[in-house]
Amino acid sequence: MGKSDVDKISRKEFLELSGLALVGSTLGLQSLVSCESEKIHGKVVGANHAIGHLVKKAISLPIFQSKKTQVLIIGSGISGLVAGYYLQKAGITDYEILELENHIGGNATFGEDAVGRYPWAAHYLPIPSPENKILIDFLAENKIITGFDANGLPIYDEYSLCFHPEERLFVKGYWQEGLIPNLDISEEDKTQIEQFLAKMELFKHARGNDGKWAFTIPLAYSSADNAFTNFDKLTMKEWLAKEGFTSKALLWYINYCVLDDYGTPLSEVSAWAGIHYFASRKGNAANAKGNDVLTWSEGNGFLMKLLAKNQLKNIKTQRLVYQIEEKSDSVLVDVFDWKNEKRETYTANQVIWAIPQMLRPYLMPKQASEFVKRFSYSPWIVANLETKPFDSGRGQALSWDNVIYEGEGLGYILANHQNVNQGQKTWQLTYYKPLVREMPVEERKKAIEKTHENWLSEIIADLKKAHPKIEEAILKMDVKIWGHAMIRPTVGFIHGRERQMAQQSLNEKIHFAHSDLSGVSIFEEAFYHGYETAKKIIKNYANSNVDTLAKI
Amino acid sequence: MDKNATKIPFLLLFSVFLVATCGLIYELIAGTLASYLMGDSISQFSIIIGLYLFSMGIGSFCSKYFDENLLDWFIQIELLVGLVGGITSSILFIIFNSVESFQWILYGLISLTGIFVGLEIPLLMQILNQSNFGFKDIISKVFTFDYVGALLASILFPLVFMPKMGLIRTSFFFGILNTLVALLVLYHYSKELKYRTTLWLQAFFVFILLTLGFIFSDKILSWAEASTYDEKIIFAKTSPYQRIVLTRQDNNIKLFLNRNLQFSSFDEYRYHEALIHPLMTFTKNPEKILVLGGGDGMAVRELLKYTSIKSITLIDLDADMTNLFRKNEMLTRLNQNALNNIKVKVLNQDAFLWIKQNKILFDAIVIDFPDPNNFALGKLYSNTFYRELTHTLAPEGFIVVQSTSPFMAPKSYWCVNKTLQSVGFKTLPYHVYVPSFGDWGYVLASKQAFISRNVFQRNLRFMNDETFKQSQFFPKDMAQRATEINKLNNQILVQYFEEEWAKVM
Ligand SMILES: Cc1cc2nc3c(=O)[nH]c(=O)nc-3n(C[C@H](O)[C@H](O)[C@H](O)COP(=O)(O)OP(=O)(O)OC[C@H]3O[C@@H](n4cnc5c(N)ncnc54)[C@H](O)[C@@H]3O)c2cc1C
Repeated sequence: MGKSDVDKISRKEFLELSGLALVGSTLGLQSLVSCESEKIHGKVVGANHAIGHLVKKAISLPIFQSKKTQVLIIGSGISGLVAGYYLQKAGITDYEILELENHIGGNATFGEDAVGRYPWAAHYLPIPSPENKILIDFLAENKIITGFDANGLPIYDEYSLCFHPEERLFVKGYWQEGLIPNLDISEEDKTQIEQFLAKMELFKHARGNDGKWAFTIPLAYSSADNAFTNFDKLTMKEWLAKEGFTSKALLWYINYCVLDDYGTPLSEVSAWAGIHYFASRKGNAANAKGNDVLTWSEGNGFLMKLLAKNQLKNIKTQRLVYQIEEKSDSVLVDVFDWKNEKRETYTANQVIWAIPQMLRPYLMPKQASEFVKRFSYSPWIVANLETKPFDSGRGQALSWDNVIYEGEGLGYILANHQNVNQGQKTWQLTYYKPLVREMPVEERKKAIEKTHENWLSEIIADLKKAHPKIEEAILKMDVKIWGHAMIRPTVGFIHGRERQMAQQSLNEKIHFAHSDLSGVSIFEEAFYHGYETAKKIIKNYANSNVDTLAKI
Repeated sequence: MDKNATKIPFLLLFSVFLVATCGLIYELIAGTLASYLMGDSISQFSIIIGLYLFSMGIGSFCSKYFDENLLDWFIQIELLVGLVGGITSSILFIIFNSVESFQWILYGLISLTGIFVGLEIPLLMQILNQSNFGFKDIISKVFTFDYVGALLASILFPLVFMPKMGLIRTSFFFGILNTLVALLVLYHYSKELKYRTTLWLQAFFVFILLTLGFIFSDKILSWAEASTYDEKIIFAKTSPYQRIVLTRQDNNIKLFLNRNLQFSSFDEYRYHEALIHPLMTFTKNPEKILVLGGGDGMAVRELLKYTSIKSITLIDLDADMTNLFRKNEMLTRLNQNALNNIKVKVLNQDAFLWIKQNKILFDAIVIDFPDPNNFALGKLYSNTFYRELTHTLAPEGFIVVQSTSPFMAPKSYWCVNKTLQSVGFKTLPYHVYVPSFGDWGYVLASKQAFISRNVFQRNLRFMNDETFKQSQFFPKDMAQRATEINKLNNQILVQYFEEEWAKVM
């Protein structure tokens, strides 16, 4: 690409490029708002307008450097890192990972200060099902699975299994154990909850006419049997109504679950996705229960570090990829090093796209990508609070996950829960809230306008329901806005055409890996897509070299 | 004496009587409180009495500066006596937890009360003197009522008020009496008073405050921890990790951490001999020893009886605790200065974190943590923690774990045993009777078989072969029972412990 290429970007295209501003990611350097309220300090890091300006700047500069690499991975979220991890395992070291932010990890990033580490988004991984062989192998390679017992059941590292007490729910002034409401509910509620769970248990063990699990993770291994995929044609709310589930407590619980995993309410999430939440996890372990989770103070940042540790030299941060162009035997990728304000161009044999699909029209304007319109993402906020120890309330003791019944947000997790030392003098709370009152676009706009003080008072008001005195205990609160946090599995999306189309590699040169391809935003799906793309590359890269393939 | 002299109004004499009674009561309360909270009742009482009388002297001296509006002043001071006297004991109880210079606040409040009371009688005498009363009559009547009041107070206080009302309520009660007198005088002489409105307002305010205090004194008491100890507190400090309280009754010193009894000097030798010496009979050649917890140094004291021991590393989280048992003379007498011995290295660190990173092997490990009554402590009894210990214990080494009471909490006790076994240790459970604790349990653990390699030392007061043999027998009511393994992800021991102790408490 020569200097004249600058002119190739029309004004219209530029405006489209500015659409990058909607990327859910945040520029660490240029946090949008950083205000400090009088009593409680902290900052808001959020969806950034700055990217549009960056692109403008980039295209005004001459190309500083042209580079060549075998494989270029765009995005250092879990999917990008997994791809790199397996490339390296197969002996392919000529690759680079480009990351927009000044830190790696995407939705698995974490924060760290004198008190300890805390997650900025993804914070746990449920024990995987035995079918998820690659993930189990990865965990074993990294000592999170320390061995297997006589029955072949994995033995998990005890520091990684979530410590007791795990979950509690605040209902009418009291913390009950577990998140399924059981306190002060009617007989009818109880019966419906039991019936619902029994139904989910059936789905959990159900197989389609193709012999596959009806619902499983990775989602791609699930059955294509219509008997089940038809659930994708109606909302979870409609399905529940059809099945006669009316209990307020039950509906609250299911809504809580789908918000937690998909950031999408009952009224929009497809019934297939809703059932998938309850029926897909079939984990087992020698030293844990099937529904136990793995967690660390830095959340999935812990897994992210394991993935990244042997490939740090392949990763370049503060690189905005703003244009990708397919050539006959290679791919040209335009990159802006925004820290040093340098424009770079890469020639790569193959590219792994480990960033959200919604960016396709902006980065590859020449490619047909109508289907991308079907990809819709929910905005979230995550707040990290540092507090003095406070009265944690009546009932079950302070737990890892603390949820308020009919609360505004999804409650908070205690980031320091997995510490083993005595006498913790500062607590770290990570508060989660999907923004679902209005449609994502409106919510995103509203979120960007809010100040630190706005968030603070909103969050405190929510937490006060359970902890009337929490305000006095808060030492600091930082808020992060995730503009496009999670793909939304709305009706028809998971079993629709668009999702399939998006997964097609382009001429065996550009491969797609981001977790949004699953329609379900979880670690396992990011892992699956990262691994699958690595496999494709390895196959293309050394088609004849069977050994390489055998290695992974 | 002038025959025509008007009779001294009864109301004023009655106030003398009450002022005297209340004054003495405040003094007695202060003395009781001081000796109760700080121990050493003889010196505390004598300091308080001296200080109080001296302050009264100051008050009397100051009375000469009052010339005008004497009745106003009299009421004003009466109200102040009521207020300060009434709330002193609550203040002292509440701040005792948190204040370092507790004594000085105590002495300050006592002096203040003394000064006010000291002002009252001379002021009253002046008032009477300005009227037409005979001087002799004034002196005789005033002092008669004064001393009668004092007698009444000193008899009623120990017999009626202390047992019936307790310290805090008694204070409020007399504060209210004081205020009532002020109100009566106010009412009676209202016309003669210059600052009547202010005084009325003040009087009502004080009255309401004290009445509320009287009503809610139970609440106040429950905030104030001091009332939960039966014995006199001789030391109290809130360290970053726990509340350390030492009490003393005669020669018996007790240590409480977060209100849980840790030892009683009267029978701790039983506990500590049982903790250390069986372990030492199994350990072949004990040279390097690790002690986890046990910041009081008593376990180390027992260990130092073995000349083969070259070094003892003690890990205790709380520097306040180890410093106390290193520096306080009364306590170093108890642990025979063990923590200052050159063989002993004290590290104020978190035991779990320390063990996780430690690379040194020890011949024996003594684990003397507080009972698993919360999730943080429960982690120190988990299979994960015990597994970490296997990397710290020499292959030939032995461990002993204090494991709560197999009588009060049998499931908890056997759960510790089972958890130790679950990580590959052979165990040997035993228990002894420690009067101030009850029947107390320990578990020995090792990868080796339990073959006695050394004999018990002769100079012990409690432990010997016979006793140890007996202690390995568990009667039916505390016999081994099936339990789960305590893990970080089930914290089952804390659950057992809570259930079992809830039953007996
Ligand atoms: C609030 C929240 C909580 C979550 N909690 C959990 C949880 O507990 N468990 C769980 O399993 N999952 C959770 N998730 C889902 C999480 O998204 C996935 O687990 C996983 O981390 C997604 O990884 P990814 O690689 O697919 O995408 P991402 O993490 O989105 O990675 C994409 C990366 O690409 C970068 N990038 C984007 N555009 C460009 C560009 N133009 N140029 C260069 N780089 C670019 C981004 O900065 C980012 O680093 C949570 C998500 C959110 C938002």
